[in-house]
Amino acid sequence: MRFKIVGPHGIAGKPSGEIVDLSELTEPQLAALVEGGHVEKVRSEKKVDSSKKEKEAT
Amino acid sequence: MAKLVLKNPQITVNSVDFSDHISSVEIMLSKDEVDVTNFGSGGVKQRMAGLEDASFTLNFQQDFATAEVDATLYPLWDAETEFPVVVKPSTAAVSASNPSYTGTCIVLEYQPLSGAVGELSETSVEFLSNNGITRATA
Repeated sequence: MRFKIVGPHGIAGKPSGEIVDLSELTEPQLAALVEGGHVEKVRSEKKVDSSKKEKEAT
Repeated sequence: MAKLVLKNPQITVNSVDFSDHISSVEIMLSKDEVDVTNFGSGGVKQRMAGLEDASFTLNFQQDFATAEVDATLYPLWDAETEFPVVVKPSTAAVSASNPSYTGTCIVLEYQPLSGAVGELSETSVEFLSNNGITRATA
């Protein structure tokens, strides 16, 4: 699970602003970090189906 | 061996580095004293080590801003969840001369506000470890 550090403090050894993998933490631990305003979940980018794109172009 | 003056210990609570809001740290390791004295003890007390216990006591400089002390500690106390606490003597990498002490803790008592007029608002919090404390040197 990837999160962006939005609070002023470093999380799991990474400074504020960076993306951090928090898969080792439990759900309650993550929930406390989110509630405290430390991290925000990184939205995964939508995968673009390249074959569909090509068909649309033709 | 070099003696240590505490200047920059690194302390994380639920993975958040709070070194810039903590002014004192104490790691307590203890074992119960079990009296095993008997008639064959030659008139002297004899003891064995019993159950092990461990805790961290951290003195926080209170801060109510987002992602600061209260916003971190209150959810942990409220949710009654376990979380990691890690303390190192300095910010340097973990090594034989800079060991890390890690415990999976709960917090049962939390005073959000404590102090008198004109004083810095500080709160001392005891983190009780539920799995002892692991000392790592690498």
